[in-house]
This record gives sequence, structure tokens and C-alpha cells, in this order.
Amino acid sequence: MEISYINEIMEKGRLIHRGAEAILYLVDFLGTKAILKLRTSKKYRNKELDNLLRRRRTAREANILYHLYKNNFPAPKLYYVNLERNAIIMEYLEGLVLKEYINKLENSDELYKIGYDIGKLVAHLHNLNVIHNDLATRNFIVTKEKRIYLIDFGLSMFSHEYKEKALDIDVFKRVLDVTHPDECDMIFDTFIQVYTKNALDSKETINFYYKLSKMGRYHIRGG
Amino acid sequence: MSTYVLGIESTAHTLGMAIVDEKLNILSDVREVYRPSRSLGIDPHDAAEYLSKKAGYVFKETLKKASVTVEDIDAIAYSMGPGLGPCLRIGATIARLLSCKYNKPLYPVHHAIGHIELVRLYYNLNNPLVILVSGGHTLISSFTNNRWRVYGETLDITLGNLLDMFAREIGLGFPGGPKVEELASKGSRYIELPYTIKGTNLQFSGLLTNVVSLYKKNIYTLKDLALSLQETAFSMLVEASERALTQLNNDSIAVTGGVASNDRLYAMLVEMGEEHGLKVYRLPKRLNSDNGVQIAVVGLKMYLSNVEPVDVENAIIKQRWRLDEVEVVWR
Repeated sequence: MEISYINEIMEKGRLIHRGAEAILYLVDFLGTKAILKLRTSKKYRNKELDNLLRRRRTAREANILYHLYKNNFPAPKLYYVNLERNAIIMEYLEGLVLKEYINKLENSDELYKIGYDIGKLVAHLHNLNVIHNDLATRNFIVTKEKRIYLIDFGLSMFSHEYKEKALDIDVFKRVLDVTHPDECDMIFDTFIQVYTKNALDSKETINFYYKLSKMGRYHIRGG
Repeated sequence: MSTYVLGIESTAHTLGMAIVDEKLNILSDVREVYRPSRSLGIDPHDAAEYLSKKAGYVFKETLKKASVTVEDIDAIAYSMGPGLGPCLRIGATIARLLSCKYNKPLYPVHHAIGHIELVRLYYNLNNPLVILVSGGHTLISSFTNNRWRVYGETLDITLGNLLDMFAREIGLGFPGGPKVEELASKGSRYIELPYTIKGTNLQFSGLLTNVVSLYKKNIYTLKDLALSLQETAFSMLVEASERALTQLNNDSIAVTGGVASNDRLYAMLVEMGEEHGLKVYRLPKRLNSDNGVQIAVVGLKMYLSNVEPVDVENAIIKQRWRLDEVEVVWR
């Protein structure tokens, strides 16, 4: 596949999201609606570091998306990757971002279901030795059928370490705390129960997570 | 009639006192800084002893420079935390003593809120994304529902620690930040180092271990290591800030704390801000590091908003005190 083709579908496509590290376009890829994710260069970053990061993250994200697809994990399917252009083309998922979905909820019982579904989802992810590294509510999509998908594996990595898994959970809790202070507990309590039941090594992970959260987040050491 | 507030800062190595008036003029700003020996980090008890010895001098100078008498002072503010216990106790003791002796209302101030509010008030900012980077803190904050919420932070050591500990390992003195900056400005080659970001949160300890072990291998020049350390750590921070920014609706960016004085970090933030059409604000360098002014301005706001002062017996310290625990009622 030529870079010129990527540029062409990009120009014909619609910019749908400008993130901190990538731009997303809704494109027509070989006759199919798809997402084109382009990792753009950051002016503030040292050129070598910038090239290194973009290439590495694109390659890793593509690997992870393929691994998840092979294991029936609800994430966008990988269609194509180009490391020269730092481009990934993947399945377009129609639905609402979880953050907005929660804000629009009228019935708080649904919060338990969300906690339940995400507990299963993250356990499944960790059982496949994938750490997401940015479990924010804007990185989940709820489809019309109320199925939850995980997106944006830009910071993700392969690891079986329970410490990394615990950090994933810690980030999820922090995001809930600041973005959904009223719904946080209902979602998180169910999440923890379901995660514990379904994840491998969940005892170590959860224990380490509690240790992390108790450590407090103020650090002072030297100047 | 003017209003005068005395601020007392003593969370770590600096004993700072300052007097500000109701127009936020800084009438005086006096500091004494404890410097640990080259090979060791800060020893809290050593530091506290040093600060206590300097207290009388700092207080007298603060009054003298402001041309204000003790009687003229309307309120006293002190840093209640977070910080090193022995150091905090010095400031709190001075504050209690002055409050009792001269019968002045006493206001406890959160040290980080002091840093944040100082830059906000100095430039009269409306809704900034504040990046606080120092030896004690590395966090990304924005004001929502009466609190400075933490949208991202370090999960292990602070950016200030990272630079200081690297400086110590390679035999530079304290504080390490400015020395690492100078060294890095002479570097030319980027050496790959661990880049760890978790959403809007950061980890620096792996980076520290790695750069120190590369140093010990003796294959790279110190200036290239310093450059690579700065580029990696600062890129992580700028990326996390940009990630936070895309989720919030701030109308400016402010950077404060000791590490904010680093010109490379500032330049990177300016470049990132430009992409979002946001201006980046930072204080004159002197006001980035710990000082009495940051405590005095918050005390002034509390006093003018009729916040209930604390009784002397409740003027305690809080070594661990989350920024977002504080309800900001004086704004």
C-alpha cells in the first residue's frame, strides 16, 4: 500500500478527533468505513525521541490490536499499519464514549452494569497480558447494543506483571474520581469484585493496588 | 488603611517570610535556604535546626524591608503542609508564637495551593491548567467545583527529585536542577531512556535508575546524558499536560515550582501551548522556588474573604495533605 493512498483517503476523510499524540480521521478504506490514526510529530519534542516514540507506539499498538482480535477481545479490528507514515487503519466503532454515556444516564442501576462489564473487560485484557495504560472513561465506547469496547491502545504494552496491572487499575480509579465523583464508588466497587473473580493473579494485583492507593500521592524526598 | 499579611513558609529547605498588602504588592520577601552536603540529600532534622537558627533574622529582615511594624500586620499565614515534619514544625511554631504574642489571626495554607494561587493571581488568570513541578510535587491541576483537582501526577518520585538525585549521582551539588540544565544545554546527542506515561500520570524512578546505570558504564558524555534525561522527562510531562488539556477547557497554561525555572521545559510548554492557542505563564524565576509570598497571598485572600482563622491550639501541621482535599472558599 502506497503512502499516497493513505494521504488520499485522509484528505477525503473527516477529522473526528485531535488527541494529544494522534489525529483520527473517519475514512473510506477500500470501500469500508474505517478510522485512520496518524501519529503526528510534536514540535516540542527532540526530533530523535519524537521519531522513536511515534514509530514504536504505532508498531506496538498494531501488535496489540492484532493480538486482541485473535483473542476475541472487544477492541477495534486492525486493518492496516504503515510504519513510515506512523499510520494505523482500524475498524470504526459506532457508539457513545463512556464518559458521555455515564453523564447521560438516568437510571443509576446501570452504573453497576458498567462496573460489571468493565471488570470483565479489564480482567480479560490483563489475562491476555496486555496493559492499557490509559483506562479513562473516554477510552471506552458503548454501542447501541450496550456492548462496551476498549479503544486507544496508544500507550499500551505487553506485560504479565501484577504491578503493572495494579497501576492500570489505579489510573482507572483516579480518572473515575475526578471525572465522575458521584458515580465513582458504584462503578468501582462492582468493578473490583468482578475483576477479582475473573482475572488471573487477581489477589496479588488487588493487594498491590490497595498498597498503591494507600501510599498517598504526596512525595517529598530531598530538595 | 492598608492591609498587611505576613506569610511564613517552611515545608522543606527554605524558611521564607514575606509581607504583602491588599493590592498584592510584595513588600518584602526574605529567605534562608538550607543546603545539604554534596553527597547527601536533605536531612529533615538538620534542615529544621538550620531554619530555627535563622528564624529571628528572617523575621526582623522581613519587617525591616517592608517598613512595617509587627503591630501593623493584620494577619499571619503559615504553611501547614505538606512537607517534612521537623521543618513544618518550625514555621508553625513561629506562627503560633507571633499570633499569641501580638494577638493576630492565624491562617493555615496548603503549600501547593500557595504555588498555584501565586501564579494565578500574579497574572490574573481565569482558568489555567497549572503544572506544578518541584522537589515536593509533580502534578497537573485545574480548578473545578471549588477545588484544585489533580488531573495527572507522578506515581513515584517528583521531577525535582529526579534532577537532584541525578545531579548528586554525578557529583554536582544541590540544588541539582540548574546544574543539570546547564550541562544539558551543551549536549548534542539523544540517548534513548525509559519513557513511562500512564494516561496523564508519570513515573520517573525507572528513568533515574537507567540514566545512573548508563553513567556508571562510562560510555556516554555527561552532557549528552543530561540532555537525554531532560528531553525524556520533560517530554513525558508535556505530553501528560497535553493529554489533560484535551479533556478540560482551560484558557491558559501556568507552570510553577522550582523546576518551572528551567528554560528548556518552559520552551517546550510554549510550543505545546501554541498548538492549542494557549499562552504559557510563569513567574519571575525567584518566585518559582519556595517562598513566603505564596503563603502570604493565600492568607490575604482568606483574611479578606472573612474565612474563620484557626485557634493557636489547632494550628497544627499536616505532613501529608492532598491538594484536592482543600476546599477553596475564598475565591
